[in-house]
Amino acid sequence: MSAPSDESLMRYFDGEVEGDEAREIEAWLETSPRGRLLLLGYGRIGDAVRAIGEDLGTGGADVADAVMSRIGEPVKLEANAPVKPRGRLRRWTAAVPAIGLAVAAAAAVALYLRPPTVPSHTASATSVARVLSGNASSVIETAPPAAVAAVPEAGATIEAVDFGGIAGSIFMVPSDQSPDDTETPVVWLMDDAEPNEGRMTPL
Amino acid sequence: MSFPVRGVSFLALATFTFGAETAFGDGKPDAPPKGKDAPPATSAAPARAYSTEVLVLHATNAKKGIDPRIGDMPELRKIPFSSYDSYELLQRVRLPLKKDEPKTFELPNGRVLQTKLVEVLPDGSVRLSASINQPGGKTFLPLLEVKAKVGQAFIVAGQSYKGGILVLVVHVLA
Repeated sequence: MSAPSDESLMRYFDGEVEGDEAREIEAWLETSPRGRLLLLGYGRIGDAVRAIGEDLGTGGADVADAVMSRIGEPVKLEANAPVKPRGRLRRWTAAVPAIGLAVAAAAAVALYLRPPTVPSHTASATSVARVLSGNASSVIETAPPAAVAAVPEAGATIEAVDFGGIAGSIFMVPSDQSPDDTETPVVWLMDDAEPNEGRMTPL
Repeated sequence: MSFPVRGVSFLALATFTFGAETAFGDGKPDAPPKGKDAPPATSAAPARAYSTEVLVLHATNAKKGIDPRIGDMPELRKIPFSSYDSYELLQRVRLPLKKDEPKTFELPNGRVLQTKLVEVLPDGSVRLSASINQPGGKTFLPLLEVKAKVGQAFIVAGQSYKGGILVLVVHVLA
């Protein structure tokens, strides 16, 4: 079973793939954690852009203008923003953290475009991220102390990451080990040491 | 509200690329801020020896379940870790955390994990840095900086290894 193209995966995410092609993609997703993570990245992209459209009250009609106007504005990262699943992909995108380039793109969009929000109780909400280049090298920087001060921290926090030449993602996973909803930060690396890894995982 | 997500996705991706180039020029990573915005290290903090315990897990779909030596680790039952049905403890090592004294540890894939104490914060938590280098010295993960209290953990996962991935669980101990 070969991995679908990015274009096919995007069309699948959009609910535009049916029949055998859809079944093939679903079978591949069953065996590919990274594929599912990519889908989540697509979800975050859509969510970020929709949020802009909703902010403008235009339903997205002027999203492009809004996107361009917001580029460069520092925005707090809402790293644990829930993903709104779409259509048949509800089961895939409900809680799967993002990874890879799609995630880097999603993070970038979210960072640049989301309006400042009140940080959640999770420690990750205190971070501000800057995606630095298209090859997904990124650095996560801490928010200024004043912004962090009001946020109680429940777990460890990733303060900075340089992924170098590889792609990667940062997300939180609930630990369920304490009553204060402690979450464990995860740095997920896209390792190409085994090129087929993640795309053709054995059943 | 219905929305043309595919178009939006492409738009967002295109915007990301444009934004990354315009906002950061040559795309070279900036050095993370140190010192300026960070809370100052305190000499008043009680002298305390810190260390990290690193659990090296091998995640596969070998249908073997979770190695009992790993202990209770709910994260492994959560997405995306739940995508793997087997977790085997390959290594468990304790590395002292000392400022200006990086400690290294060879992973099963030949790469080398390095940890170092950056500073002890007034609240007793520590800021530590970690990196992963290739066998030849080339950097694989140049920098990871974490703030954690004693007992807290973070995870570095995703390195390909023998049909699965490595999951490094790093606990801060005192």
